Amino acid sequence: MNEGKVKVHKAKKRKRWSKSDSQLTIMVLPTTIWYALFCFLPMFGLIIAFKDYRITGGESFIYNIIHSEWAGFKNFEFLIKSNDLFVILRNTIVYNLIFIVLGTIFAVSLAIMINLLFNKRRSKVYQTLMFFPYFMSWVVVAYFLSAFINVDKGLINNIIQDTGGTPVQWYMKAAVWPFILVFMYLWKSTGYNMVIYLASITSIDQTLYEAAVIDGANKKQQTRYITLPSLKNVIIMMFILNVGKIFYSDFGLFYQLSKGAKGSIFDAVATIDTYVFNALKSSTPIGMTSAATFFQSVACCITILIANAIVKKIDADSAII
Amino acid sequence: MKMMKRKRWAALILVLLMGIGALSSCGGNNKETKEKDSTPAQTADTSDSSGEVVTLKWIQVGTGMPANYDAWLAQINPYLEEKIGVNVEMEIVPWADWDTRRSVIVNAGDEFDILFTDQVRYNSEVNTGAILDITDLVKDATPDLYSMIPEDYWKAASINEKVYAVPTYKDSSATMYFVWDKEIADKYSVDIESIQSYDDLYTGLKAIKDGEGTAPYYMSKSGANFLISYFDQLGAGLPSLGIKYDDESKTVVNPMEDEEILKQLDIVHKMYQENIINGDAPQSDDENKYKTFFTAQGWSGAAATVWGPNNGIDDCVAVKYGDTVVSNTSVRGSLNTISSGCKNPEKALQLLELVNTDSKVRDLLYYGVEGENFEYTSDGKVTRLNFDWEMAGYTQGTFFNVTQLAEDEFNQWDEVKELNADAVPSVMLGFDMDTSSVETELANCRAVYEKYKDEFWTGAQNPRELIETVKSELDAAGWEKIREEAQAQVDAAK
Amino acid sequence: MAKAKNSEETISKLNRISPKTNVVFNIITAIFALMCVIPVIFIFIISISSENSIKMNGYRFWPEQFSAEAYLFLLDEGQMILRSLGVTITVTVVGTILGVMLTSTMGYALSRREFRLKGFFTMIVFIPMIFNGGMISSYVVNTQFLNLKNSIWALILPLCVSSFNVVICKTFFKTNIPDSIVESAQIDGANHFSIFGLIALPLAKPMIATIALFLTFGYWNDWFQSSLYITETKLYSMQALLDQIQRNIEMMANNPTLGVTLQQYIRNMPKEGARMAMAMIIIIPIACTYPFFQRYFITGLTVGAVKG
Repeated sequence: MNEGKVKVHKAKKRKRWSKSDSQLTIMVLPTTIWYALFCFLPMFGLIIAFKDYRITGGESFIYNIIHSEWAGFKNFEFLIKSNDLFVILRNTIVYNLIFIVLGTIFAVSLAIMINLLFNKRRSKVYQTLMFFPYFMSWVVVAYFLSAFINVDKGLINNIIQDTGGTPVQWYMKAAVWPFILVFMYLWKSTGYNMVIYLASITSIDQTLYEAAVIDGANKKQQTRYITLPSLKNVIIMMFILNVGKIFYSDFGLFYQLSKGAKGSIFDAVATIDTYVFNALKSSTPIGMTSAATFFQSVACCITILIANAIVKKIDADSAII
Repeated sequence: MKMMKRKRWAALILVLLMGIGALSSCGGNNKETKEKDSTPAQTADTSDSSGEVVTLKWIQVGTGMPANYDAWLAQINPYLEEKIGVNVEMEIVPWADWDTRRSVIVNAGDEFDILFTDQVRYNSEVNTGAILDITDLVKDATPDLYSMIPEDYWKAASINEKVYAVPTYKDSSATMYFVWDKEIADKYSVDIESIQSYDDLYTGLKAIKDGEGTAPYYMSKSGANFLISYFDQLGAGLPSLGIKYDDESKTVVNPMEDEEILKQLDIVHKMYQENIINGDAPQSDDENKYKTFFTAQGWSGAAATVWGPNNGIDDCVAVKYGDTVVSNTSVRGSLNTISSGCKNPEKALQLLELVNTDSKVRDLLYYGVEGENFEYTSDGKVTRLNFDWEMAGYTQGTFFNVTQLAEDEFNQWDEVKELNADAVPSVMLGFDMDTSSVETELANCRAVYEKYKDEFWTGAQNPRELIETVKSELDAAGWEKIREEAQAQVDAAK
Repeated sequence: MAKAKNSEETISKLNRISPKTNVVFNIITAIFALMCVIPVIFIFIISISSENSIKMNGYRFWPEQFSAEAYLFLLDEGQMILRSLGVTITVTVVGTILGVMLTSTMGYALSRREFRLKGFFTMIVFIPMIFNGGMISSYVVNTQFLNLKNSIWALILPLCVSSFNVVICKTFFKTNIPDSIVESAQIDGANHFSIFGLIALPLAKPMIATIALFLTFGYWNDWFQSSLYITETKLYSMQALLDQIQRNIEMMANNPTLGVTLQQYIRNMPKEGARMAMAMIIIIPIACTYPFFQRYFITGLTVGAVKG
């Protein structure tokens, strides 16, 4: 009897506005108000990318925007025409892809490992320690990196000199920087990234494991056939979310660690964000910065929609939109 | 079931409360901030019919809002009211937030009357229309202020022959110094007074390096970029574009290609390779640590008052290097501008005039609260009681009416006045390029300059080779277009 | 019951990895944990080195001279630091609670397949993830329209919801609260509010803990909101206060052209050791709250149990 009723409900699900819908709508009202005030209202600022912003004394911001002339795509020119466009696009996207793939592998592996350790107290200590890098600002981390690779006083060069070699100017050697950057990214964010996977692992239904044991599965098989598939949704969700930021880069990571992302290591380190910062930092006009961000936004929008669509084709439930 | 019903209502109420909470937090603030608004420090909206006291808002950069701000207001406002019918409200933006907050304040239309600015932003702020044109106003309303600052400085502070700011009359000309630890120099018999070029510098420093073993010349990542200060950048904000300060023919060039500069940089490069300059120069910030030799801009008296103590050098001597130049850039190091939306521009100018002419006002701004931060001595000088005062003296007004410190044996401002008087004005003084047609090229050229500047000026790479790379990238970024435009404007202005 | 428990234990004991693997895993995680904590130890050591030895010898793992001067310097500013700590804690607690409530309600609603307006609200959540009006328009809205300048709500409200968190929430609810449970509860007469409060939330303890953790750490770390909206020092958050001192120094160090007259101020700036001490104050307290959230990462009530 119950089964029948449930089926009928499902067939009617989109036809009528139900009480259920009203309840849910009321539930999301507060959050929607938040979005309206803090996200959608300021969105008129996107126009600035297309205008030549001028100020008339004593008038409000909105007045100024409305009365500024349209600039078409002029503000975007500097980015599009830049000779370094290929380099910065390539760096931004490739680094992000590496971060996403390696970051996920590391975070998931460590999460599973920590979850399996005998001594629960010790694993909690490990987790706490792994979180420390998240709280260090990139500036402080840059100090620390400098203590290692500084040409005069750094630890590594000291060792090289003690063993008879010539010290190397690491801040001018492009080849090592991809490794440094990837390593530092993993170091700083694995602890943080792990959290979601840890939370998900603990939500997995224990009876599944118990059943598997009875069926004679060993731990490796259990991990492969229970843990990982249960994490599938979360992994895919994180993947799509991160892909949605693929044209953005962590400014602190790329700029502070490399001391400016310039000179000999530019080709290995510069990203869209560091380039825009360097190009525009000595001028006030807000049109160009706005245009650069708009460009990144649109690019990210396209990528995330594509990624979501691909995922939907493979497994409709995992898509986030 | 009953339990569930009650809990259901509880959940519903909870959700409603959240909604109300979110809404009221927005509404509630109206009350909060309205109360704040009605405290004594009002915005410039207060009516200014003659006779009523006007409150002016002045935004400056400093360490932060002073802890004893209210006490300070209590001292300065009555005096200001008496003199010119004005009350002041200061907002001191910390150095750290200066860039972001300024951009926001100027662009978002926040209300303010006086804003401190400098050469980096002045040109673009005027172009966006945020600043008031005070050419006539300053001569009519505040003739004293106008006459106390030399013509050349007003010229340097103008754009298209209109004055938009009150320049701060201080060490507004730029003089470079070679700063030495005299003790070490004497140890190796280096005659520092005679060293006037990088060639001589090399010989002297090499002797020290061979003797001491460590790199004596401390360079931060700005390296030897002071060499470019002899070129006027025409307000374009691109260091690789300019006219030499004494070039009568007014030809626009790329200063980085200047043979004189490249010759000096060759030696810098040599010094870098021989470890006479610290190897981490291209990444280093300007830190306060012990240095045997470095370069700095200022006046020679600063060796004893500032450079020595800050860097742990007991016997510090500064030797002048090159000419003293006054150019747009050097004067615009400190400017006070009036908002184009200011409701009481005459009063604002009068305030600035008072600051620049009246010692009492000047001292209060420079030193802090009398009795807490400083005191007057019996012979009319000042002793500092502590170093806590958060406002930055150089942003406010001239130094020349600041009461001298009791412990200063000589008046260092006298030397500054002399330097200013002897300064050679740049041939392009008062000229600013209209960059609106080349903004795109400028942005990309700046990116190129930023890319290479550290390694160029510190000699970390061979300058002769590097300049070729820089040139080709600048060309690709449209440098030639900027140069043509600049030259055309310069020629038209002759 | 006792027998059942025992057999559960035996199963879980039998279901462990081999001791050898355990050792290997221990070593791997220990190495990584060590790499994470060594820089912090290093910072601590710098913070207890004397200023002189830093000036002379640069950074060393074992300084020439120990000194507590950095912390004494901070003690001088003690009152201000404590007040800013109070602000930070208030902001963090209120913000986290508010954020969790707003986020989880939205996440729950979006996870219900039959919700008629699901598509609409998904767009509402998705668009801000990609498009941002910019710092200045946010500033204008927050100060001129919402009057949040110099209000503690400027530190709390703009950060309490993030679409990222909403998506995590939605995915979690979708995966772990199947429609069948919701429907059977509805048949029993429950409405969504009670389902949310009585079924979904208790099951979601690990996820709520995750979101609460993200929010808490985000609030703790934030200094940007203060720098934009707060001019009264009383209302600064602790990160803002300490970070500002740090960035003041950098700004000055990076702008030697600001002239000699600026150099005077540098003398009053706290030195290296003090800056490291500040970094310690920022890192340690919050990292130590992590165990508090960890408690919720337990194998909680499972869907299976509810089914019964």
